[in-house]
Amino acid sequence: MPSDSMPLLQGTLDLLILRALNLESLHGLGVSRRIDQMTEGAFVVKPGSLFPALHRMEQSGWLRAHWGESETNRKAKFYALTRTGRAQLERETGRWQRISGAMAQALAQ
Amino acid sequence: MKKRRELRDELNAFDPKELGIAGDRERIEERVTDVWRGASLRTLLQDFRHAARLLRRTPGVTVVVVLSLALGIGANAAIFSLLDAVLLRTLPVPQPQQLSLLCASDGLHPDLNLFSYPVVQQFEQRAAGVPLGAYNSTTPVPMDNGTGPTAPVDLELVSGGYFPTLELTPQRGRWINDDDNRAMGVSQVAVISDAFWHRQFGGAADVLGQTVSLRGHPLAIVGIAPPGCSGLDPAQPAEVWAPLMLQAELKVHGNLSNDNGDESKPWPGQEQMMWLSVVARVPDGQTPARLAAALTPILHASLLRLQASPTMHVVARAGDRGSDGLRRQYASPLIALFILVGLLLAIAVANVAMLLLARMVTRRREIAIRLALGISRGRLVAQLVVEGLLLALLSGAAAALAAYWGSRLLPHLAASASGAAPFTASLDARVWLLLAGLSLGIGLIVGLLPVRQARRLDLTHCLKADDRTAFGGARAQGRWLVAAQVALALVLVAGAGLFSRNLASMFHNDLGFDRIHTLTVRLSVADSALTPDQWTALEPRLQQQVASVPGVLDAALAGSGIEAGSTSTSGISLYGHVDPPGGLESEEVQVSGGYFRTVGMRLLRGRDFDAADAPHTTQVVVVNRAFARRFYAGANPIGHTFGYDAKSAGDFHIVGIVADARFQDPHLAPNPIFYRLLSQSSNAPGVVEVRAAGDPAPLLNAVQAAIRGVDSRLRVRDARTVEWYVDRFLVRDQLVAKLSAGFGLLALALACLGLYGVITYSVNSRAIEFGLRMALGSARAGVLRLVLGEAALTVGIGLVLGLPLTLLAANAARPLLGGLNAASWLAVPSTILTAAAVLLALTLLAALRPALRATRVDPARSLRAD
Repeated sequence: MPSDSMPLLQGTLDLLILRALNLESLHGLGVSRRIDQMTEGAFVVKPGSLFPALHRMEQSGWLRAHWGESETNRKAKFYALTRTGRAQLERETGRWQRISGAMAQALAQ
Repeated sequence: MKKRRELRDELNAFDPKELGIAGDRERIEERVTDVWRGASLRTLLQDFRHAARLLRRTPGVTVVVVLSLALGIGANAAIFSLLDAVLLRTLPVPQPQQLSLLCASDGLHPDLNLFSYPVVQQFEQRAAGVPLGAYNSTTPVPMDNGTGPTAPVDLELVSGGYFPTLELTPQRGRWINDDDNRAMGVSQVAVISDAFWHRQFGGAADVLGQTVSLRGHPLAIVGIAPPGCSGLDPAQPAEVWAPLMLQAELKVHGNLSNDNGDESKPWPGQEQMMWLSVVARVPDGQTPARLAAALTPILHASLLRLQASPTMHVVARAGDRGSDGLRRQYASPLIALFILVGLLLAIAVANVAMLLLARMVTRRREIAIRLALGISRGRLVAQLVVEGLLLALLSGAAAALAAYWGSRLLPHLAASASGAAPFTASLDARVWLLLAGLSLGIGLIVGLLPVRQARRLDLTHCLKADDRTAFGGARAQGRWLVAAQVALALVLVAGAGLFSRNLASMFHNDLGFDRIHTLTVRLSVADSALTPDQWTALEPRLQQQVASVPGVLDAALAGSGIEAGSTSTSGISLYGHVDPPGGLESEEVQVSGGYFRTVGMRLLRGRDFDAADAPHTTQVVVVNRAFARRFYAGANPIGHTFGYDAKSAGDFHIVGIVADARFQDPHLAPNPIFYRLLSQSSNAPGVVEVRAAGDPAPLLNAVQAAIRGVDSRLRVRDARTVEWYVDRFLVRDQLVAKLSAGFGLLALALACLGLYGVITYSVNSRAIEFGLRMALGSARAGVLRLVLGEAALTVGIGLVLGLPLTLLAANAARPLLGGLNAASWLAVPSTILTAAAVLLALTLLAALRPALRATRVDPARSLRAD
């Protein structure tokens, strides 16, 4: 685990998961590896937060699950975005961009 | 648990190390489960909120649904509580099914007879291994608490075996035992009930050893019965128990059949005094019938000693629920009421189903849209069921209130001017269970009913502009529901009419005597205070004094009160006839001159007693019509003679015939009676009958004062109007009449509401058709005829279905309609037809409003609307 990893900011986990699943469907740990990759190790999502979040988002209708085979040839549960999930990703992305833009501007002055 | 297995599979896909250190896995599983739980709870709450919103949006429908279900369910629970209290509840003793009640019966008459104490003692010896206990009927006895007399307490005298037979343990102290019953009047002890302990002594711990003073005899309290124990007759709970041997001291009278015994001497020693009931605990494996057969020879031997014919034998009846006097009297009326109230609930449920179906139609759009948006049918069903359950919850709560008030009101309805109700109804666990079960069941039914509709829902059809036919089936269904409702309502409305008319005819039936203007004063004379000679001297003065009270027209003396009928039955032998086997029996009443005039009994033939009939002239009797019919086969009996036995068959000369008087229960047919003069018999009068010019009630005090003024040794036991006694026998009919009238009105209201709803819905959904018809030139009157015609057809089908049902019900209720059947054979059919006419008229009136609205449909608007 890299020493410069940060604790997750409130509200960012859902957005990161949606983003990670934007291109392809992934299984649970695949999602956490993709987030690690996307943020270059800045955010580490622990399984203890990841799986509850995946199940919550599945219940909300953002994610759809199906069974597939993992890279180690084991039966694994894969998650993919639903239509509402994609809409949610767009909404959340827009919101986050406004927040980070405003923060960057505030800190630049 | 499929979800949990899937979660395991999901996590198994990974190297345990990747999921963190050992133990983390469980934490993950736990947190995911929390997420699921939160979600399902949220959905349920959402469904409830959604349902509540929907119910609020149509407050009229909701209120009508909740009210009709609450009334239906509440009334059922209340009637059931009565049924439970009177018919079903077993005695609070261990293994009540082992208890048997022993009586003497001749196998012909329903009346059951009692035993003398000497016979009971022999029973106890013979029935080795079977515990037996004897008790008398509960009697009110005046109590003196030191500061003066208080309200009488209900006393039961018991043998030493009574409590051990019930296998109860006193909560304090001991029971009355065999030692208390060794000698007459010696052991002055009492056991008190839990209720009496709390009422009289405030539940004080040191009550044992204190005394309770009955008729001036201080009885030492030796034990307290456990809560709920009040003897064997639920209709007459006992408060105090004392040994049988105190009968003379406490002057306990109660039920008695006296075969030439001396009432003023202690009863327990006399074989002639039959006054005790017997309870036995028959161990499993033995049969009550065999016990009864084993004891019968003892009874026969006793009857032979008394020179009576041994026609009676011992019978054993189930004792698990105590004495069955109340059950026998109320079983059929209560079952009838329970059926009626069940029908009422069915009508209410049909109404609710119709309302919800109709509402479903107005919601078809909403449901179709939600289905289109991808809500699963499972979720939709769950929502509809939650809606039904919410309605059930509201109705159940309202029904609980209705049941509570109902169960408190019912005993009052059964009470009359003559005193408290013979039972109390309480809501126990079983009643609540019934209430909850009914509410839940009905909630599920009404919740699932629209589900069938939703299943059949044709999506594309629904969303199309002309969607009025998507629920075409609902209209036909509503029709049939209304027809069924009308059929059931006819049973209820006709029932109300029949029972009310029955009561009215009972009130107006000719009882054979004047019950409106007659007072009965029962005398109580100190033991042997007056000799027969003194009585003979006193009687004319007594009669005169009472007759001279202002407002009194006539007074007469009699051995027994007219309200009680006769208290003695005698074997008789007709002159010139051979006695049939078993002999003839007739009731006997001794009266003074002027008796028939006083009580308003009509003389049909011959003559009344007159002044020439003196103590030593020819013994004359007047017989009633039943006597003449039974013994002389309708031939004129005047001039014939009879006597108590073949030797004396020439003693009594019949001089007149009077009309039959149905003294006691007006439901019963008259018995043969002969009347003798008090002056020609050795008996003393027991009552003074008084005929008032107007309302007799205000004369009660003046008459009592006049009696006391004649001789200080005369006391009045009680004085009441005869109406009071007649009332008491009609309590049952009153209860049934009042309740069935209430149910009938409710049924009528619900049926009208049902038809109104269905016609309204039908008119709304056919607005286009009506618009078209009128646009094409149909007259408004034509549309009105069309709508009303359909309503009449629906009601007509209901009535046709209901008529045979009602006739069946009326036939089943025949035993309860005695007065009506006696009045006229036409009474029942005419009442049913009237009920049908009323139902038809009122339901059509209910349909008139929506029908008139149909005629006001604006063709232009209805054709354009979506």
